[in-house]
Amino acid sequence: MIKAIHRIKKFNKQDSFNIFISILPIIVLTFVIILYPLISVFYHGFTNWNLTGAQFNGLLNYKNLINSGNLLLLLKNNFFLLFSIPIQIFLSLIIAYLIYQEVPSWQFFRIIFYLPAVFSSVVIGFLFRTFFSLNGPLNEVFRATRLDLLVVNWLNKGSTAFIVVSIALIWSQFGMAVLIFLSGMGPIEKSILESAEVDGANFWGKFIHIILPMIVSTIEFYLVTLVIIFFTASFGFIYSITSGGPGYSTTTLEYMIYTKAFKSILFGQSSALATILFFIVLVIVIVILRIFKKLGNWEE
Amino acid sequence: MNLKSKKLRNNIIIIIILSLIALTMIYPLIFMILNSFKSQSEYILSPLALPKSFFLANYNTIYNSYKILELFTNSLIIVSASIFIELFLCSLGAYAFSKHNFKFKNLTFLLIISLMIVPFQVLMLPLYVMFSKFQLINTKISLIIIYSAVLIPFALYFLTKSFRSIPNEVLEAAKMEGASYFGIYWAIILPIGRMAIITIFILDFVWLWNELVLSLIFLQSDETKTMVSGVATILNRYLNNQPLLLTGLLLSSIPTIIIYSFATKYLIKGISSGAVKG
Repeated sequence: MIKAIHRIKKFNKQDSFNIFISILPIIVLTFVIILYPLISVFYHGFTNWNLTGAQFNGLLNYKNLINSGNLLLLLKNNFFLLFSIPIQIFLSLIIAYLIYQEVPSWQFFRIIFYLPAVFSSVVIGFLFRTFFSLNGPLNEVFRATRLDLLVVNWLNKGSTAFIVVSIALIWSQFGMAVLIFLSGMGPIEKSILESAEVDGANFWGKFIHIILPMIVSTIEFYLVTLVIIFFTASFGFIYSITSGGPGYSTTTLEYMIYTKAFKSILFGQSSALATILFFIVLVIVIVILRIFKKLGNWEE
Repeated sequence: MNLKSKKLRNNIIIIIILSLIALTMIYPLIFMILNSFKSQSEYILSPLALPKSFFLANYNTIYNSYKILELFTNSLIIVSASIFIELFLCSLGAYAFSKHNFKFKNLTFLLIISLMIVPFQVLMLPLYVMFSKFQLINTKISLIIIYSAVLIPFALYFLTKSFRSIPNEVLEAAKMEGASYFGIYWAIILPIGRMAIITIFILDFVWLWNELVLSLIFLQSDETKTMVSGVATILNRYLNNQPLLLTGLLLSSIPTIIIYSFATKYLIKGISSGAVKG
């Protein structure tokens, strides 16, 4: 008996060693590659870090960013991009609902809609740049159809260039959105919809009163992802479509972190911007999670 | 109008709408393919038309002058090594987190997965400085370490969640028969959890293959670049030759298109099987 207990204890000891071995590498890797640089960025935001060294200079970086109007411009640009999120969610919800009807060949559409997700932001960016260039296909079509009014030099002005970047972003995320919303609609019993139909609910009535409330948590999940994507994954699109220009008119926070660090070699300012970006993303995630928690409670 | 013909009419409308949108999804690919067979002058005259002949000069130029095969090998090595390390470490970790109890388990788990929200643009400068201290800029190792680390939080979360659904009875039975800790990992966890692992593999392969900003920073000389960052920087210097550019873009997307064409089925299954249900 005692021997058996002893053996179990020994076994457990060995188990805890094995557990330690299994989780140690991921802890070390994430701490060294993610946590440590994060803390380093917080600290260096308060220094004049450059190639020669880093000296503490208090809030100077932040003051400079605010006083020069740079920060405001960047935030404005970021929020301009965010405007396309409602469009994106609205469109993909409707498409997901149409596919959910399971008309013949719906599986084919589901696969085709995912296609843009395999292209890199660079490929999509250069494609859109080609498409929207002054003598590009889009303007050619407008000219050929005598809609000369619509011929615009899209990439020459901040506002229209932003529209191109937004469309590229929406296009690239579209398939994933449809797929995720479909997976949310999947478990909904078709019989509920059928009985609603008997009660006289029409096509869109069913969507608003039955489908939408049941996939709130899926929308929540996706909204969080999408906001983070729009704040942190626009780099490739901006790099390939506008390179942040003309001027800084299409430079977002994320793009400026890169420019400040690797073009202007102002590491301190870049760190300050990175700190701001991190806290914006953090706040947005917390706020969105809160809002949806409230919505959920209210439903119960 | 009776119910049946109403349904038929609805279906037709839905199919038309879906087809129109599907066309915008697939057209850019067609556009790239068609124009890769055009010369520059032919493209300028008629960007939307079919190519007049089977013109292969763009492919020749890209193959001979831009060392596309080298870029391809670089990408392949970096992406596969990163994913192998990531999946190996995360599946081991997820096994511990999902099937064993230990001190500070929840705290450690939460700490790691909360790192998911840290954008890597925030990390890139300190990482750059760190790796340049060790002379690792322009090496594949630097990107492999960084890639495998930044992928960990999500993969750990996803794998832990799916490994939890593996019944404990199976593990206990194996233990009774004398299977060791790592024996159970190898013979039970990995085979049963393979759907989740494949899902992560597909998502991360596409993501890493297409990753731009880190590879731009860490691989600066032309011959060390990955396919996507190489195409982005090298062809960026020759923007006026649209067909050449489009050919480069097309070639750089081929691996992910191949993955896509046989893996979407898995991905749809993986995503629908509870990964994102709130």
